Amino acid sequence: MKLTLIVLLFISLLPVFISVICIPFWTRKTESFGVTIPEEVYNHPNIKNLRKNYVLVSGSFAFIITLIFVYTSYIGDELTAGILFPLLIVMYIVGSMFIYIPFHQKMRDWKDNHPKWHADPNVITINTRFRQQGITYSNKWFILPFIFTLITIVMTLIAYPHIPNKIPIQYNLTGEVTKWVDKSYRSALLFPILQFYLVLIFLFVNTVIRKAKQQIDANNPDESLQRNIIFRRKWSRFIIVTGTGFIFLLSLSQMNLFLSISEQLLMGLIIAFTIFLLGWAIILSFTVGQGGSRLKGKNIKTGQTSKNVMNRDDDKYWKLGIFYFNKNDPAIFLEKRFGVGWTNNWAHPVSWLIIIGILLLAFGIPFFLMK
Amino acid sequence: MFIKLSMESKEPLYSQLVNQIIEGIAQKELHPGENLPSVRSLAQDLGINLHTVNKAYKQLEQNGFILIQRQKGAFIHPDGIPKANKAYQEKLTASLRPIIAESICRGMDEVSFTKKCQEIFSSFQKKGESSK
Repeated sequence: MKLTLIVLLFISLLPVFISVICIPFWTRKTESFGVTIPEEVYNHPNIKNLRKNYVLVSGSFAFIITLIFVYTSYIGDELTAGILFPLLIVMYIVGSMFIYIPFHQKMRDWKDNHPKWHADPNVITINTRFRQQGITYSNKWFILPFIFTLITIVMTLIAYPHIPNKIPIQYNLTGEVTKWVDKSYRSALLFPILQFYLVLIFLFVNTVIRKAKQQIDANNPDESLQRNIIFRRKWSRFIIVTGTGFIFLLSLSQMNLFLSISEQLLMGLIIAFTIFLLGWAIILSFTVGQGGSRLKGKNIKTGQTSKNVMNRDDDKYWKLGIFYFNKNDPAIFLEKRFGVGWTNNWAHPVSWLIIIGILLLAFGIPFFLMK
Repeated sequence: MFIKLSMESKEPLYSQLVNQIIEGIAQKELHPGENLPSVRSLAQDLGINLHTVNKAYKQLEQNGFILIQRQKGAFIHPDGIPKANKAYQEKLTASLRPIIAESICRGMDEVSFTKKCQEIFSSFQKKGESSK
C-alpha cells in the first residue's frame, strides 16, 4: 500500500516538474527568460545554451526533491508522506523561482550588450475584429455546474435528517478523515456553497481568457492572430471541462453524506480525472505553447510578414520578468512572459480588488459556515 | 483590419490611430457600418491611455468617418463618408501647398509629383482588392 502511494504521489509530482523545466520552450519566441528579444535571436547559440542550462539546473533540483520525497516517505509513515508532499511541491515551485532569477539577469545583461537586439522600431499591432471572433467558449457553459450545485443543495436539505451527526470536512492523502464538525445546516451546506464559489472562479478564469490583452506579433500579424485565437479557445475549453468535471465530482462527494456511493469508486474517479486534466494541460502546453506560439501546420494560414520591426519593448514594466507593473496601461490581464497562461497588471487597482475579493471569500466562507 | 502604432514615431499616437482608420476605410478593409472596438477595449489591447483613443475617435466622429452611439458603440459611418465639399477642397489645398512647395525646392517636377500621387492611389486600390 505504501509503495503504491509513493509511486502515485511521484507520478503526480511529474507534471509539476515538467511544467517548470519546460517553460523556456513554451514561451513565445520573442521572449527569453522574461526579456523581449527579436525572434531571430531565439536560436542564438548563447540563448540555446542558456535554455539548456536552465533545464539542467531545474532538472537536478527536481531530482533532489524526488530523492528527499522517496527517502523520507520510505522511512516515515503514510502521514509523513502526506505532509511532505505538498511541502515539497511548494519548495520546488519557490525554489525554481530562485533558479530562474539569475537566468533572467543574465538575459538582461546580454540584451544590454547587444544594441542590435533593440535597434528595430517598436510597434504595437492589434486587429480591430479580434474580439468579434468568439475567442473563448461562452460563459453559459457554466450553467451546467451551476445546476449540479443547486441540485446538491436541494438534495442536502431534503436528506438533512439522514445525514450523520458528524460531518467529515478534511481528508488526508490516503482518504482518511482527519477533521470532523458537528452537523448543522450551516456545516452541511459548507461544501455546496464552496462549490458555488468554485463555479464563480472558473467563470472568472474564462472571462480573463476572453478579456486578456490582445498580443499580436508585429512581424507576423496574420499568423500571430490565428495562433492567439486558437490558444484562447483551447484553454477556454480546458477550463470549462475542468470546472464542470470537478463540480460534478464534488456534488457526488457531498451526496455521499446521505447516499451510499462507493468510496473507492469516488476516490478512483477523482484520481482518474485529475490525471486526465494534468495530462491534458501538459499536452496543451507542448502543442499550443504560450500565445499559440508552438501551433504547427494546417490550422495556421501564412500571411503577410514584415521585417525590421519589434514588438513594443516593455521590459522595464516587468519586474524580474514576471510581475507586470505599468500604471499607464489600462489592461488588467495579459499574457505571462515566462510560462503559459495569463497574469495581471499589478499597477491596476482592479487587480488588487479582484485578488482581495477571491481571498476574502476563500477564507470567509469556511469561517462563517464552520463556526 | 490591423492597426499598427509606432512607439518611436514623432507623430502622436492619437493621430496615427486616426490616419490608420482612415486608410483602412480607403482600402475597404473597414466597411461601412462595421463595428470598431470600444474605447476601453481598444485602449487595453493597445496598452495606451483611454484618452488617446477617445481623442482619436472624437476626431474621426467630427470628420464624419465614424458614428458613436451609446448602445452600439463606435462604428464606421454606414452611409459612407461625406463627399469632398468646398471646405474639404480648401483644406486639401492648404495641406498640399507646403508639400508641393518643398518638392519643387527639392527639384521634383509636376510629372514626378503626380506620378507619386498615382502610385499611392493605386496602392490603396490594390490593397482593397486583395483584402476581399
